[in-house]
Amino acid sequence: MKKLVEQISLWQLYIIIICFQIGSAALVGIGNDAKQDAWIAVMIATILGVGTILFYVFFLSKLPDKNLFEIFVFCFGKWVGKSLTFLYVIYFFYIAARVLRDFCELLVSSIFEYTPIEVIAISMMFIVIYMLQHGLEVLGRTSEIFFPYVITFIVTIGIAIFLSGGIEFKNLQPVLSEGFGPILKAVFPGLLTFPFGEAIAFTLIIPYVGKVKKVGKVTSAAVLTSGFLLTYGALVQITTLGATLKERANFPLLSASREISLLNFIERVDLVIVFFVMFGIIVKVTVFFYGGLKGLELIVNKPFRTMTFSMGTIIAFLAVIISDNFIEHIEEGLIFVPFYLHLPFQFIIPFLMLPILLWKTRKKKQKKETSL
Amino acid sequence: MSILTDLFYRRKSKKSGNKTDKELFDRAEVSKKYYQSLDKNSKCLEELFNDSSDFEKIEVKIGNKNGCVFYLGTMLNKNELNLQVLDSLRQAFKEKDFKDIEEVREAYFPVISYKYAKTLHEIVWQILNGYAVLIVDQHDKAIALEVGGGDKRSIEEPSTQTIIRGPKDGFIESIDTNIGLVRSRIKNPQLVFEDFYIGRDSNTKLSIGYLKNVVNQDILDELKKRLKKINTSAVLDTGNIEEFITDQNFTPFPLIYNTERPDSVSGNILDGKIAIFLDGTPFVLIAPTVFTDFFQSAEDYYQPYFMTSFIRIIRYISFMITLVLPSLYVALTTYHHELLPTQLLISVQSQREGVPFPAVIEILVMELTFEVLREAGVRMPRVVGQTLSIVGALVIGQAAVEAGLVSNVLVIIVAFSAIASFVSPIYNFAIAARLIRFLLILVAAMFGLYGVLWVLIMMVIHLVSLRSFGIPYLTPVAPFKVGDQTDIFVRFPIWADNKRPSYLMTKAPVKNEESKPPSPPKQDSGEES
Repeated sequence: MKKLVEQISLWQLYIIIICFQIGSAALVGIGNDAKQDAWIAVMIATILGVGTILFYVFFLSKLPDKNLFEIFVFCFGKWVGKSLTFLYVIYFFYIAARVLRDFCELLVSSIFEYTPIEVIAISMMFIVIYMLQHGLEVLGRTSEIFFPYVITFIVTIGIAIFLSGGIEFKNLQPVLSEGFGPILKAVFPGLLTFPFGEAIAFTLIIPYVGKVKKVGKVTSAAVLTSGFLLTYGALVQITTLGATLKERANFPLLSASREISLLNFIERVDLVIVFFVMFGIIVKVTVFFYGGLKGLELIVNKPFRTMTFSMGTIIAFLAVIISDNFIEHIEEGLIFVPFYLHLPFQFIIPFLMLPILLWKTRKKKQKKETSL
Repeated sequence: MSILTDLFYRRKSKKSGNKTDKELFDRAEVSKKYYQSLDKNSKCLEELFNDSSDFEKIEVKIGNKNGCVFYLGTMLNKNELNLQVLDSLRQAFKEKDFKDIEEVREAYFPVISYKYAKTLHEIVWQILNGYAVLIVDQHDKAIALEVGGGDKRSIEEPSTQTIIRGPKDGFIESIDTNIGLVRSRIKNPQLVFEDFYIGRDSNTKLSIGYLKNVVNQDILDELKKRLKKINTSAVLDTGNIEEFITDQNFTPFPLIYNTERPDSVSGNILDGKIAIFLDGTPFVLIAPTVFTDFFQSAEDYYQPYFMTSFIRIIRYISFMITLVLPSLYVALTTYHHELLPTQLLISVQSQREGVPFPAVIEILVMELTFEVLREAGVRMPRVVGQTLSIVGALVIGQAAVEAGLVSNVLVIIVAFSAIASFVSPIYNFAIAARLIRFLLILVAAMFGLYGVLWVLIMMVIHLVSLRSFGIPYLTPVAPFKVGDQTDIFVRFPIWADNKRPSYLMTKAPVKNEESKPPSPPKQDSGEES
């Protein structure tokens, strides 16, 4: 038997990125600052998102087979690199806990009114731990199984609402009533960092993709696809609920899907939708958790599988304690996280690193040439 | 005395080492010997066979020397023995001095197939395999004569995996016949069979068959390695082998396919897979196996492909029904009433009105009852089979509803999910769904739909992590292989499905180089003929 090397295919990468980006973004309302033009904001953010992921792929391609954290060590040396890595580990774990909390709140507010969120957090984390214990390949393959369902459901929701007569195209008007101002406000930093900038977590997965050359194309295609789906989702939400209701709803997609009523048989499908969002959430938590574990792996020099369980319990715990209630959770997500966490970790640090990386890799090349 | 100590030594060493039985047998001092004197040999053999009642010997005269025929009376056909061996030994050649054993054979048995045995070990081995062994005094080897015989079942239609259209023969308990059935379907010298002997005490013959110019060498080597590692007292069915060579035992899903059908085995060998035959069982294993194999029947290839594709999709759906239908009932009636349309909800709830149990108890009781009925139906003597269906269907089903113990809807659900479990062409695959179903019911009672989905996701992760001889279990769906989709959920016409499964990484990935759809002859050329 050949030695088992952990590797995921391009198709799997494509699928994971899509599941990742529409995971919680399809659930919570995005681009609310742009009111009825949220869909335009999502489209613009998608283009920027493609740029973002191409930037990540670019600096990964400078040092193939090395992930983000190994590049830190390469650029800044052992101590600075490792402490940066540690900050990233905390960031990733925190975001994983946030995503998990999103889902817990969804379940608690829609189905399990009397269930403590600990139960949901722990059981969801159990899936994530089980999956990561089997490794990245299993994440890829599991996504391949669930991907068709997730996509079908998101697309069907719109069609079903349309057939039920819930869609009101007038809700989109007036287009660009206040110019580009609100759209830009929605794009930056809100939409750019969530969900598109969160692709920073893929800097730890891309090195495990078999064919490195096509990664740029595949990742940008994936971001475009998920951007398209998110735009579609935003359109459905706005046309069904109107801009004001969408802004007020905690989970606009859920509220919109309540409009579905077909053949006097298919009704109240919002429950089903909750479950199909579940998989996106699992992928998202898993990717962030994996990113954090990879960082720990570099710091403590032990395979990440030895730490999945213990760190998983921490995330489940974090998800419960990061905020006292849903309002606080959302407020943190809208105000604190984008500026103080997303921006520095997704853009500032990588941009600061870029010149050092370029300089060091160039020097390396020259050295090689002179030695030859 | 020396023989006894040797035997003792043999048994002891077998316990400690994990070498194959044959090697250990070879190592025993006694078996390597061969005596010139007939008396000594005969005494040795008698001792080796422990005076078993079916170990027989007939003394004969070969020219001017004494000879003796040894055989196991139960392993061969005595009529044939008389006709072929003993009759010719009664012939003349009296007082003739045969120079060596070859001459004896040419004189007496010119037409019987034979083997020479040079040591006592070989003699014992041939006798155990149903040969008659002739030992002649003062010669350096013995002749083992294949008499044929031993009783076997005739070839019949298989009792499992029945089909409507297609070949009706099934494997039997004799490995040679089974291999012959496959060989007669694949007339190709590249079809190779390799023998192994498994089991310290049973010495059962196992044979693996594959197409040498097609098979993936890595998988073949791995299979051989695993077969050689088997260290057991006896194997009675390929089910025993299966548990020794699967990648993972801790799973309800079978990782190796089994079949009773020669056409199915031939088809799989032609695809580049490896068949494992075992003497004494009609069930043949096929490795490696992927999940989707269990949704395919041999008949799929004999019926029109539209129908086949439809039926395959039905099979996948019924697998899901077996898995989730009972737990959906529990979840919907316990937690998520709002998902049901009002009319349906009212009729379901009104039926449950008089039922004294919660839905989960109701369904667990009925599911268990059904499992009991099914098990009894399998084990029960055929004569009383009629009674079972009456008792099962009428008394338990109808009476339970009338007594108000369970609701009508529930009986429908239990019955439907049970019938759906029989749709899978391979019996032991449905077992997995049946087991997980119980888990799902329990979880649905505790967590509702969230629990059901939770278990399903865990199940998918588990399935995805399984491997059969290194090949991911859910290939070609995950990892997704575009080229293999011609024969998974739908079957493409046979001329379009011209590639071997790519996940097997066979030496010859293309089956038919230029297969084209049939087309009517062109108009002008048609005129001429």
